[in-house]
Amino acid sequence: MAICELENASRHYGSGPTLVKALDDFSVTFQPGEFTVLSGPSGSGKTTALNLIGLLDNPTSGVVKIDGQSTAGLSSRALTEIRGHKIGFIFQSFNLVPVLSALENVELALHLSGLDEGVTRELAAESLAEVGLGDLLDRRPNQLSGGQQQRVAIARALVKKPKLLIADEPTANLDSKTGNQVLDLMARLNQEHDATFLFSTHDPMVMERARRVVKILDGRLVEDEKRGA
Amino acid sequence: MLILKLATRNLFRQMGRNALSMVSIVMGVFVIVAGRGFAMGLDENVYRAQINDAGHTIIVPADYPKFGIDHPIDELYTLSESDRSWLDENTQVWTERVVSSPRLIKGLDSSRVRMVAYDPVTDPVVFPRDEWTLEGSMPDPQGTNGIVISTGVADLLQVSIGEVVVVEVRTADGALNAMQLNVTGIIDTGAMFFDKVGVMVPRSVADPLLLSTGKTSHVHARLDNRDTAPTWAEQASAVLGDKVEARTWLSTTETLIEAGKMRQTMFNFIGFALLAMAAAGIANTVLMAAFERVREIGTMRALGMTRAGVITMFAAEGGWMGLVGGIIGAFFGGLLTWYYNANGIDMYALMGAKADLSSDYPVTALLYFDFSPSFLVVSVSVAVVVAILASLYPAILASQMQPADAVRAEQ
Ligand SMILES: Nc1ncnc2c1ncn2[C@@H]1O[C@H](COP(=O)(O)OP(=O)(O)OP(=O)(O)O)[C@@H](O)[C@H]1O
Ligand SMILES: [Mg+2]
Repeated sequence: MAICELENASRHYGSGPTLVKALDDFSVTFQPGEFTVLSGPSGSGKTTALNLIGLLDNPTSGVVKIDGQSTAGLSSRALTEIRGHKIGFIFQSFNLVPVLSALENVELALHLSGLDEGVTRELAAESLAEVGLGDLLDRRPNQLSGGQQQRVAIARALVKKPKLLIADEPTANLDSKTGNQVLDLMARLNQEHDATFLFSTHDPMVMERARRVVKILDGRLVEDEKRGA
Repeated sequence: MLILKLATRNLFRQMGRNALSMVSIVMGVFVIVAGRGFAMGLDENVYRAQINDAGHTIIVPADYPKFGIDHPIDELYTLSESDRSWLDENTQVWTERVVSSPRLIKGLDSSRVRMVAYDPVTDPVVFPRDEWTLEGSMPDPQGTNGIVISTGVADLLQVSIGEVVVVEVRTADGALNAMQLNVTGIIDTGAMFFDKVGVMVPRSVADPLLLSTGKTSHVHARLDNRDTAPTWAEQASAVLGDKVEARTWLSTTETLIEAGKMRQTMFNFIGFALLAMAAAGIANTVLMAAFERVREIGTMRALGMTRAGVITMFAAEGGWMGLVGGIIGAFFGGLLTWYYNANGIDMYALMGAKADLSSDYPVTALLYFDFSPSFLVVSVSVAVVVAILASLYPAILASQMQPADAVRAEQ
């Protein structure tokens, strides 16, 4: 069964002469365990598509299905619940909570998915060790490099073992060496955790790493290319 | 719990700004606590002064003036045997006084005074003298004609112990009379008005002077329980007839206590006005915090924080400000009321010069604030509730941001 499906999904902003079809009748399906890139030039609708898939936004028309289930008409609370349990997010600018330590940032994700305080600490520490930050648990985000912050963000997204990980241009704010390390890490975790990774980029180097490339232009799907692993 | 921790840490992100918006909470709670301590203390002080000055109940001629130095000597009354036995049975102790307003003359100086002619046996029982400061001694009823004068009169006429003064009176019959008296003592009773204009003379000395033997202007009584005074007064009126009027510590202080309530209301009003300002300040502060952290809110919503969670986080931040500000305000307000509860505050100093008192205002020189630990808790809770309510609006606003818009926001 597909982990995620967009069926004729559109997202329009504004109306009349200022109407922007950020996403236009877009259909795509993602299977469990994929390592897929969504690529396209700036303004083509990548973030819009990822926001719909991540249930951060509602389509103007069409349907978003997660785990085979339509999310149309669900309440804000129900959508939040699904996000908390099934979806992990990694952002371009890391988006760590500045007043929380690396460990607490990861714990926060567990806490928000409803886990008890007793177990969150250990799980969070494990997850940070997995991304190679086992000895920087108590650092605040401003005491970490960009690559380290993004690894904390990856640990935070992975710790609740989501079925789907969404990363919007995860390497755009990193130099190419660090970016590659982060991609290595994501690729490894994709193998080990059997989680679906879906990330956007317009960097050809990054596209190389994906096993499937979905190309988007002006809100429309223009190419869907699967490659051998 | 992590959300509370987060709210606490967020509080420290803009320490200066948050401290500023806490100032008015501190002041509001301080004013409410200190104002209540003062106003309630003043009420009790008025009661205490009234009771020290007049006992639990007084019987005076009907329409006798309530305050001031006018003591009509032609309105005396005489208690019958049955009146006396009724009083014996229905009070703890009672005493008769004749109060008049003669002229006290020393050399070329003179002044109108309040002269209290007292019964040396029962008077000290109704008016315990342990809080009085007495220099010299009370006149010996059997000895030569003696008088004690208050510190105010001693200051005014420059009289010292052992000197002779002349008292010039109108008698109960309306004639003029005068007598030389030896000053045996100078007293300070703590009752402001008496300490300014009062003198005391035993009945054995005063009655021949005033021609008031067997007569009374004031019956002062103490009851077993001061709260029974109003019913006692009704019974007394029925028994003693309508030539006299029974007053109680409550009825005589009524207007003053009303004024006290106004004062309390005023303090509360100022306090709540300050709290309202504090509420506006907090709402503004939390609103600014919400706008500064749009992307952070979006991130947390993406991680699974519900709208209620966002509201809780910001309301907790505001609540913290209320709690900290409230505790600081209650601490200083509590310290002040506690200190003046233990030591009293000098009313003479507070009301300006002692000499400015023109009416018979029953207050004692030392005012003891009312100190109530439970009210401190109440006032801190009020501050917390006000702060939480104030942050609710910005918190709800923050919770209604669209996660998709919020995560893309510029920092
Ligand atoms: N809130 C909005 N209101 C109006 N138009 C919007 C809004 N958000 C996005 N758009 C428009 O929708 C289109 C797609 O935007 P989107 O952010 O999805 O592109 P993107 O592919 O992620 O671009 P980039 O590579 O620059 O991040 C753009 O034309 C953008 O201007
Ligand atoms: Mg984008």
